[in-house]
Amino acid sequence: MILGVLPKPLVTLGPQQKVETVNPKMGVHTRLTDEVEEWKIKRTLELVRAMGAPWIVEYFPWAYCEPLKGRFDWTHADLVVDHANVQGLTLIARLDFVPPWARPKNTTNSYLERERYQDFGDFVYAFASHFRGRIEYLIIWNEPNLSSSWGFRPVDPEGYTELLKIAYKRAKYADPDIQVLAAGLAPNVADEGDEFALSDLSFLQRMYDAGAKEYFDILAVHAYGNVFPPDDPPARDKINFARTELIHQLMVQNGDGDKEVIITEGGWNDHPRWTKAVRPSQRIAYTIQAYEKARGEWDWCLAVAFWAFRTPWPQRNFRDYFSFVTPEFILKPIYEEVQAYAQGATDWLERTPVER
Amino acid sequence: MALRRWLAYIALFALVALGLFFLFRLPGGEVRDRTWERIERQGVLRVGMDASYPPFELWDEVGLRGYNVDLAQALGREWGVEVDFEDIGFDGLYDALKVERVDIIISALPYDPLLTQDVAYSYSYFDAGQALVVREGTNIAEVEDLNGRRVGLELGSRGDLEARRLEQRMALERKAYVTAQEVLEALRDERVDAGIVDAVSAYQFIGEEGGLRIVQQVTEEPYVIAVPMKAPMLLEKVNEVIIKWRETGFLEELREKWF
Repeated sequence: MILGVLPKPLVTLGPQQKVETVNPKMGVHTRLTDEVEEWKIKRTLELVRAMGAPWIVEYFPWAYCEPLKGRFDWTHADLVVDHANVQGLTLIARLDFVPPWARPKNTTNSYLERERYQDFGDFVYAFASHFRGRIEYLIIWNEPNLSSSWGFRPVDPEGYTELLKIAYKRAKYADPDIQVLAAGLAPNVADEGDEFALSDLSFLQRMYDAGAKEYFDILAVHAYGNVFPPDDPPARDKINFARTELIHQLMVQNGDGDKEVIITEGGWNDHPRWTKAVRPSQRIAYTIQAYEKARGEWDWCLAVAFWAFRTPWPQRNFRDYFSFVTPEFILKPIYEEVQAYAQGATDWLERTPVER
Repeated sequence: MALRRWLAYIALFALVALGLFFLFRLPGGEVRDRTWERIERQGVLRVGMDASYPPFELWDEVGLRGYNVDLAQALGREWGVEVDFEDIGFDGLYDALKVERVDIIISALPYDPLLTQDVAYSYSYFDAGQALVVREGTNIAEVEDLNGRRVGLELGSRGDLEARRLEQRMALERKAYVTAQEVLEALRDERVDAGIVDAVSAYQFIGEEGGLRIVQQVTEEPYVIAVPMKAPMLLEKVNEVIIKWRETGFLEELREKWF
């Protein structure tokens, strides 16, 4: 500001980039919501592009974007979206997180009463309008089949479907070309009446029964592999990557087989002590084999975005072992192996990891 | 009015500070520690532990045993108190300490700088980081000696990451294996010149087969003991004992017994 001259911005968008990859379905879920510094946002997205993943899922909390009813702050969201676009990435935006003004006191950020669904619809309309031409995909809510993601109330597929209908209409009204994804459901085997959750398969069926079919274009799926390889056969009582096939079968049974799915969360963890983790070499093999499975076998699957590329700070628990890059931007071996696959290496397409 | 309000705030703050001072200090000026007082009064040390991590802690036909079980029992002997073990899932250990279900956590707990506002950590009693391992009689003493050498590592592990970083500044040949065990077998069989694996795997292999030795800790992962934040005397007592054990070689004895 000296002598009235504005300083040049420290971080610029830079030239338009393109993702080079042998598998156009590769993606990751980024976690830039709480990433404050712009250079870190840019660096993260550059690394995603350089790894060879054209898709990202990112979270845009309603409470951050609309801190007061009708007052929108797109500053941070614009940064993320613009940098993603310049890196040549296709961004899928997840929308939820109820602001305090839209819920009673002493409720959590996933608590939304039916009388407030229109407020969420207003936000979806504003979001889709603001990002028209820059964002093509929206996910409405996250894991509503968990009580913890539904305001710690009993899960309510019919209530969620009602919310989805409102969000869908408002999104299309703002941008007829936008693709609306029904929420990714938490894979689990809980029965009807369970206090904490309802099986993803049961929840989805009840969504169809409630008339959800006409109110989403694509289904988001969460596909965690746990300790099983990607070709482990699916079963209703088993949580593995191929459970995605059961979800797709359910869509077919409901006359919705023409729609695609996008895996918006999933993958493997290589924590040394967590009971649902695999060894680091297995994680590499399974991750690459899963990308390949989606490319070669699942023509109904548009993209696979694994959890989670990098977090802004260490979680200091098993969650750190889902990432591809550390908070300090150190590339983990899995990053380099996935990058090699995206560049054409075929080493990991074997069934089991071998000495190399 | 504003000045009077500020004076009132300052007086209130001073009162609270004074209260806290007397709450945690005994009349002689000694720091008060209710956890330590209870341990002394009842003669019982309640230890939180996730007994699913051999050889540090495990249940088998013998019962609960392992490196950390011995360590806790030794603490009890030092203080003349009994030890009660609470087997708690790893993710629940800190909560158990917070709600005073246990007095202390001894469970191969990695030091976590993000939790230092909530708990107090002891000095480290074991380093589980990545270690440079070589065959007995080899003249490799540190990572700088790896230039031109074949280095085994567990693919995707922290050791792999370190080897990839070294590879950027020296001509080492990275040889990847699926497990740390396989790395150490390759080292034993002279298919590689050195290995970078986690110290726990290295100690286990050396303990069972011999022929190899750790020459350098490449990364640190200190295992520590956690106590409540408001237990400064307990923390001091723990640290005193750890220092003593380092000097007397007790920690070495424990390692040799369990690895």
